Amino acid sequence: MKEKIKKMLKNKLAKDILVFFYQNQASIDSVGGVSAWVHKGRKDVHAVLEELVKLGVLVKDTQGSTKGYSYTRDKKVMEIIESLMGDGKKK
Amino acid sequence: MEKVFAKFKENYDLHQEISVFNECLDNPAWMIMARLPKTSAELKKTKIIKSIKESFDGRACSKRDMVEMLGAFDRSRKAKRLINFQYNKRKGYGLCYPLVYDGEAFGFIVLCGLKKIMPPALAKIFSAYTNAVVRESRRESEIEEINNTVRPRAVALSTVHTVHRLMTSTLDLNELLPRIARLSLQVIRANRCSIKLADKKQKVLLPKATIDLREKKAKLKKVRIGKYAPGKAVKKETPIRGKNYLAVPLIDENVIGVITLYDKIDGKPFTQFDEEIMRTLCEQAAIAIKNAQLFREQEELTLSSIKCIAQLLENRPHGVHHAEASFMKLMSIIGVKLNMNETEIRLLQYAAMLHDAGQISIPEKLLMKKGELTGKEYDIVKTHPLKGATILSKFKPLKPIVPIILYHHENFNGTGYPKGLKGKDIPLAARVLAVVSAFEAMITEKPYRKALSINEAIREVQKNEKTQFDPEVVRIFCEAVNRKDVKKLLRKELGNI
Repeated sequence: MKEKIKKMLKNKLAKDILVFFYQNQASIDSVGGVSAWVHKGRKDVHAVLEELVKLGVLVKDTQGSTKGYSYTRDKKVMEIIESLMGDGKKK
Repeated sequence: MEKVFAKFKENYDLHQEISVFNECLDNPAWMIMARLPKTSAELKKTKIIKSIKESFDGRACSKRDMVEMLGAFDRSRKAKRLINFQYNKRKGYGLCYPLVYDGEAFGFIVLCGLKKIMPPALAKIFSAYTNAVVRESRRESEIEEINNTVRPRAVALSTVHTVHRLMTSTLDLNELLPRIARLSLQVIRANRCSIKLADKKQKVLLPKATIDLREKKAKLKKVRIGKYAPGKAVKKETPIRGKNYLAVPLIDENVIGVITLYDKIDGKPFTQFDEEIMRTLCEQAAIAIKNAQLFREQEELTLSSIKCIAQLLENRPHGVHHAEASFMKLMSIIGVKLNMNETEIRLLQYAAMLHDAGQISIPEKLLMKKGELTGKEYDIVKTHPLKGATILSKFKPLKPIVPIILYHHENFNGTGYPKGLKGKDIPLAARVLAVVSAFEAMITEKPYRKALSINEAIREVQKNEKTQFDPEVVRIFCEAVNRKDVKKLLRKELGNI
């Protein structure tokens, strides 16, 4: 798991998105919202968000056409991310 | 001010400035301080004295030097400008420069170990450079302030907006309440969320949805209004916050319930910010819950109206029989197997109750006739789907079932009525109703024939697949009607057929 997340974080956009959710763990946001926070296009952000959901790093809530992405609640995954993020500050 | 001073000390351009002026002034000692000493005792404890000692072979500053320095600091503090000073029998030179922000000095630069008084031209450059660094530090500090105050709120606002969209896109209360609980847990990062709705007559709060991520799960129980945190929040109509719980009332026009969160994942107490977020979330949740409740009431009203019409039809000869629960269950099972959504299944059930509504305009003598119908009479009977569709189209909530009623006598091979539609041109729901209504007619006693048994009727339906009925629908119907629970219910409702 750790290796998979590490590999994913080599992608700058994936890292930016993960840093955003790591720093704002209470956030639930749509593709549009996340693209505004990381200053990247919706299409690219959507693809990376889905990858992070598959990896178990993010959780997706879907209702009709609305999708909300949020940070994992899985303690093991949270510990792995904590160790990888190092000096990233939580808010 | 402290933040601006911290930014100033860390500023890259300040370090550039120090390096440039070190070359021009032959490496003086720099002291950047938030406040200047006011007494000799304070001055003795500063690095200023230490640096002077170092630059004069360990000789201490005289009392007179210290008095001069303190006087210079005082003038610099008051005049808010660069002040030069001398020490050690006028062999050493220094300067004090205040860092001014909004007319107030938030720090000072003290230079010691100068070989002579800084020339006025160089002092101007020094002031300009230092002031530019002050402005830069001020900007950095303001940006950081915005980041620390506005950004978390902007992120929270965006979260609340997304949560609002996720909450308001369903009108099904059974789906909505657990969803609100899950979203609340996520937003507040808590371990347990419970939603209780108020029963004002009983003066209690009834648990409606709970998500508990803790190993030791709490029991669901009703709470009297006024008791414990949820009850108090409802009674006082205000959030109640403790170290490990936060109860926020759901207020629309009145209090309709309460959302209570317990135990944050990080073990920290609930904060004012959590309370603010939950207040906003609860305002939206209350509207979503109220809408879902109104929608449910509307649905119940529609269903009551349908039952009322069905009751009227039942009193007609050849009307519907009492097996309502069986047919509702049958329709539900078939609908699920055909991947219909909840609304489509509900409409299918309504159609099952009202499929022969058009018979209300068929003369009773035709419906009661024991012998075979004449061609003309049969033509009149064949008008009942159209008549039923016309009657029901007047009732707005039933408009979606009009095509189901209109086409439920169409045959799969195109020999049915009123339009002679064939195969998949017949709406799926109408193909389902064709099978179920035919089965219903077969197991009901008619003036011109006896009722068939359930098994005889099933065989009759199977016999007519591909011609009268869609074979796929027949297959699913047979699976459904042969289920033990369905047969048991049918037998109970119809008597011993």
